Amino acid sequence: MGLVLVLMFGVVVASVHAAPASEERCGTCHPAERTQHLEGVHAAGQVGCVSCHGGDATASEAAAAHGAGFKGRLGREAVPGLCASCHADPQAMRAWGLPTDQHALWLGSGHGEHVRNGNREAAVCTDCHGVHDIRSPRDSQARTFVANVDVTCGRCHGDEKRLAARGLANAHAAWEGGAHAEAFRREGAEVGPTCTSCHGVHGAVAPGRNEVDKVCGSCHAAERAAFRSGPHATVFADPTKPECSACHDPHAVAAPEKGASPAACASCHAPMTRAAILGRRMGREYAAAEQRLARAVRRVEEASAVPMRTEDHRERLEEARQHLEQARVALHAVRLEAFAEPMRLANVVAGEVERDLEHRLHVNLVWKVLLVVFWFLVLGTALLLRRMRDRKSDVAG
Amino acid sequence: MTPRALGGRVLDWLEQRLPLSEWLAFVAHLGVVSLPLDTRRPVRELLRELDRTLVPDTLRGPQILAALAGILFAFEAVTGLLLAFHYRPTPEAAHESAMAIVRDIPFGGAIHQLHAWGALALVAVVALRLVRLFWDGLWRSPRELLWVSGVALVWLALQFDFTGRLLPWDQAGYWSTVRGLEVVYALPLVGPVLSFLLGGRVMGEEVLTRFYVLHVLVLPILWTIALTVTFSTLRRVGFADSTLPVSARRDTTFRHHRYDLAFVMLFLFAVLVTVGALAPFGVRLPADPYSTPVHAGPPWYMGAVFLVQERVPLASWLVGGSLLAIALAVLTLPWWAGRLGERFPEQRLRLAGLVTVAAWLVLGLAAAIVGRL
Repeated sequence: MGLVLVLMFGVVVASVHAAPASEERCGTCHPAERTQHLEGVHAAGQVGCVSCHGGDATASEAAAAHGAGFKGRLGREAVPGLCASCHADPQAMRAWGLPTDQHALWLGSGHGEHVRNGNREAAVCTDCHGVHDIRSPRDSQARTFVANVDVTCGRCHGDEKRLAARGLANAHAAWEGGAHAEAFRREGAEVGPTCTSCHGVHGAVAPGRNEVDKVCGSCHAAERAAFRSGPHATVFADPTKPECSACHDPHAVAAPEKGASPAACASCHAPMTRAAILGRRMGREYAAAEQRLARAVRRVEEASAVPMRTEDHRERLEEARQHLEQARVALHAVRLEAFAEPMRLANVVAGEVERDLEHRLHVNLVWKVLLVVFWFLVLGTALLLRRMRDRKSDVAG
Repeated sequence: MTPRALGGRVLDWLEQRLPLSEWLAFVAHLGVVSLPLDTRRPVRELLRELDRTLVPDTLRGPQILAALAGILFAFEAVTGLLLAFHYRPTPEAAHESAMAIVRDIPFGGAIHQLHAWGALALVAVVALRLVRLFWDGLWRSPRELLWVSGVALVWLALQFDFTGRLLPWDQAGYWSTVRGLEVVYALPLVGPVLSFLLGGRVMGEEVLTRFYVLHVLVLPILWTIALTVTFSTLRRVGFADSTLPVSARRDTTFRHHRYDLAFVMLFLFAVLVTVGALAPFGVRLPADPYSTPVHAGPPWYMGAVFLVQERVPLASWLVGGSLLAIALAVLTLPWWAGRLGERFPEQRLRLAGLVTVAAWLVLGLAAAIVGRL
């Protein structure tokens, strides 16, 4: 009986060990690479070790495995061509529904140009996609997943040592402190602009000077239209002038300082010229309207804490915000006549909300003053009660 | 015809059709007056005689606390009923209907303030009354039931508070209920039973519905029973000063007493209106089960227990068991404290009570401060 049990146990153990091993035996000596490869998208797509490295994956001896057709470790310069051997082949990519223009785009990109010029540091496929653990860009763990793109680019474009060697500014740090990164964090990576939103993906390149307004305008269409209708458009038609980034830092993309003396205007216009005075006036008026709106918002919060009905006021505030937004867009045309009307409306609407709620809050305060009257009534009633209580005639009757 | 004469005729008319004297005796039995009434006589005669009768003056000195507990309860019942007309007890509608009450319905905000401040006053009154019963030894035989019903009133007042603060379904109420339930769930015996009764440890529609039913139906019934036991005990065993000679007692005519009762109600109402207007309770953001506020603590009266459970490095059943043992000891005080005898004189018992209350207050305050940090 015991023997039978031992035998059965032996059979079970043997069958576990006899489970079909991977067809590729490379992992026996290269376990780390194998693990990484299995996590990636190529393993799922049945692209194995030999697809890139050559050799014989079924051999159980190193010498045989690294035999005929073995390419071994591939140099950086060989990478784009190797990837392109499949990814630029429409036949091979058709089944996967993948585009085949990445290699061509890369060749035309800043990265591709630098590689052709002998720069060994410029990015090739593996720098962004990884080597063995290449994941689909839809995989949230992928370096190329939209939420991870800024980190991937930042590995080079935020690396102070590398940048200092080439005399470049830290674009990643500038982006991280700017309005685009704030939107990226607030609204999520699908909405907030990251590196590839402006620079493209495989064809990544710094936009040319007279392309800037088109790149920005792909999202900020209204601002672009205003800009093109204004006097700045003719000046910036000169291809050496930087359009949007003359006033907005290209990576930090902050709104230029408003208020008394906008530095953005001063970078081109001498003080006390007509243009500088106009810029100062518009900046000042816009900042004042923003503050007025903020005051109205505070009043609405105060009133709803009472609580009062503030739905109508909130809608009016939204209206004021839209006028202010129109004024902000009109600022890009630097024309007073386009700017003045929405500015006036924003001020009027925000002012109405503020005044109405101030009035209502004031009335609310009056109710508290009425407490004094209420206490007079209470004391009067108490006196009346006491007189009724102490009436002797009733006690007798 | 004078109004008085008209009233008399109406009473006579009703008297022939309803047993008004029995009704009066029943109401009197509930604590308005603690004298036996001859229900065979007509009600007008009874009232006239009652007005001239000397009754213990229960509205002077610490005895007013029991009367206040009754008055405040009636007050809460009326304001609560008015609120219930507009309130909808489902998670989807609760906050919106609460906002509508305090914002849109005429005097809805005022009624809500009166209800909220009245509740706080009720807790204070029954707690003070328990302290007074303890301090004056009014738990000794034959007043054991006075003590037990006093403890029950405190417990019920806190249950009213606990179930009531969830009903507006706002962020503060929701999360203090979540924390409060965690405190109860951590107790042995009580925790599993409560989670069974509430249908699990997840906050949701069931908890809101059950709290609403408890708040408007179950607890009021229990409160009425506890209050009836209190007043009936007083009726049977007499007031604290009933052992004094007649000349030293604070007696008053029933007529006088009626007006005093009206005084007390009037001033109570005025005080509640004033504090409600000057320091209103807010109904703010709707409850969001997916975002815990930074300082989400249990209700203030659970702070001490919460702190002990969180910070005492002992097994939770041991900590919870000790807390339950203390609660049981308080409830059964008359049966063990009376037997302590010579070795443990009254003074020392008072000291022990003082230390317990002080510890509870200090721990509660500490919990509030720790929660803020």
